[in-house]
Amino acid sequence: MQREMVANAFCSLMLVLLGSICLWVTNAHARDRDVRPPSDVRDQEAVEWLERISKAARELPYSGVFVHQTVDNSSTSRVTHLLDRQGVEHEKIEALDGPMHEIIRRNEEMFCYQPDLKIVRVDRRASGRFFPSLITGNPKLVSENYRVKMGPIERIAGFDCQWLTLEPKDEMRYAQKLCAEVGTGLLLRARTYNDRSQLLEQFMFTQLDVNRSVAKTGIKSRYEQNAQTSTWLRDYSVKSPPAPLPASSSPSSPSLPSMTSTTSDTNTGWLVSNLPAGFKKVMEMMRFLTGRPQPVAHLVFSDGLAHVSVFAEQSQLPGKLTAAGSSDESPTSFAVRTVADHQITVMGEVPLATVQAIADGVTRTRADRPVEIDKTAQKLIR
Amino acid sequence: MANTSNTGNTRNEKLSALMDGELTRDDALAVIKALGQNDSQRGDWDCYHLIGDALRGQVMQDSTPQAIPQVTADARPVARTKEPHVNASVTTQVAAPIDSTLTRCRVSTEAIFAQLAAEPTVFAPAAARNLAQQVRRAKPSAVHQKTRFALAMAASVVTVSAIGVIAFKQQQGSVASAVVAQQTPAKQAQALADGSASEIRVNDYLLVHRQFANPGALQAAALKRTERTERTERMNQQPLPVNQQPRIEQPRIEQREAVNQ
Repeated sequence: MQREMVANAFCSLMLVLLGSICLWVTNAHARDRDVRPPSDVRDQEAVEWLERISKAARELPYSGVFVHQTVDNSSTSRVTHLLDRQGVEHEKIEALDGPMHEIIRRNEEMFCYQPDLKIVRVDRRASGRFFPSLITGNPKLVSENYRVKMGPIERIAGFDCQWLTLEPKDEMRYAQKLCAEVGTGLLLRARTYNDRSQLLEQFMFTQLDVNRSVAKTGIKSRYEQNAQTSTWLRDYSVKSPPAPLPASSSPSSPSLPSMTSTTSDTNTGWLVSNLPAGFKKVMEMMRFLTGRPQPVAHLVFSDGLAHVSVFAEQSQLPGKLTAAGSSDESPTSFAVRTVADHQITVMGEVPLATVQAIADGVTRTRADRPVEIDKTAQKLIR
Repeated sequence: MANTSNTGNTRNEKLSALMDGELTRDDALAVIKALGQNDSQRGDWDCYHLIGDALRGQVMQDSTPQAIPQVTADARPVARTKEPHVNASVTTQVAAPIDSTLTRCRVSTEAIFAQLAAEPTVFAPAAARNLAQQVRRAKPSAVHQKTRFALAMAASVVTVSAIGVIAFKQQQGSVASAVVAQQTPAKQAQALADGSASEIRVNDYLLVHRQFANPGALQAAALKRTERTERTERMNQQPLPVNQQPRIEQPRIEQREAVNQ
């Protein structure tokens, strides 16, 4: 009897031990398919992965080289990222192919140095897809629009990488496959597919240092000093109060005449009703653009992963213009429409149906003030 | 002398700013009042608008448009050449009225083109004004004070030169030429400029939308996009009732078929 109990206890102990060894092995290699939890638990886990991915890209120090690929093009960039003690995100992206080009980002402020043109473009991050911080919205919002599923683990750039599949819940967005480093949650690879499962776009790290301290010099532009000199121009595309350059800007450097009080997140006089499910406005601003007599309204919408831009400019065309396009070679679709004598251009990394639906929802809420001033001036003169 | 010139510059800056709708209400009213009282300033104002209109291809009515010229496939023929007459489509379609306007406004076309050759695309008109200031600092005697605003329009000229590339594509198809030729001469130029401009605009927006996120891919993407856009547009075009068909699109579609044959 006693011996039986001892044997039982021993057996249970062995089982527990075996179980923990099993679990340990599973955790370490995460390859044991036999002990996979039920699917709803896995789905919950997948959503938690989205949160890890979003957090890792924002908070970790990392530096590496990644390739961006579309069907007919590929380019290589180096990215360096850190979060300073004040909680400010710093990022530098250098183009390694083609003309020299550096983007310095401080939270949402961007400084884009183009040494061959001797221009610094000052902008706010709004609609661009920046790897590895592709999840820009609340991960919970993302999981409301996409079915997130766990995939296999693969070795990528020397790391174990967990694949996640994001299947769109409707036809208003593309499918995504994300692969995150098992230890830190940093994205190592990201792919976008259309509804026919054709690969439209891919990002992948080919070399990466993560969680190693990044020097402050690593997130400064090498053109920062030069850009302070008078031969460089600063281009404030967004019609907002000028932001100082990363270093203290010297008074001798050319800066633009004082901007009007119009700021980003202003009311541009444009509204999109009946937005496709899950899309929310993330920014609204006026922009200066080449060859346009008037500033252009720019509204940005996002479902947390994909971004859609709506541009409205006073139409130079006599009639009504409609055009729309998407292709198997590029993730960006666009639609053009005339509303209230304005040309509306909608584009984003979404299917054609989405840009068309958004274009159809664009309405004018008020007239532009700059236009009125211009007309008054002309009237007074003649 | 230097003082007079400086005052003039400030005044012209204000005029430009007014045109761009960049002045505060009070500043704008002051400038408008000054305009009403000063003939020479009013001349400048008209002049600036003429230049702007000319560069946007909006003053075609007074000029006799010539035949569609041969255009080189160089994306920036205007910006790269110092001889205005080699400026391809721009010379005939758009630069003809520019020339006359500029003559009236006593601005040297050559100075503008030379400046364009020296300076690359500038995105914001305001930035271009800045550029003009530097030019003035560099060689004060060489550039007439009044070229300042014309230089601010340099960005527009670059856009126009890009239109040249598309005009070239249209030119290849004989069907397209035939269709275009049926329109009145003024409209012919207008349709070319406007239809092409809308293509270019999609490209501009693409750059803004992507925010230089993957800079290496952008340069190539911009021009390729134009071709792709044209192709996909055709693929996605729904047959519309004749009266609703976009006027500008039609010649281009036919031309594409002509090229494809």
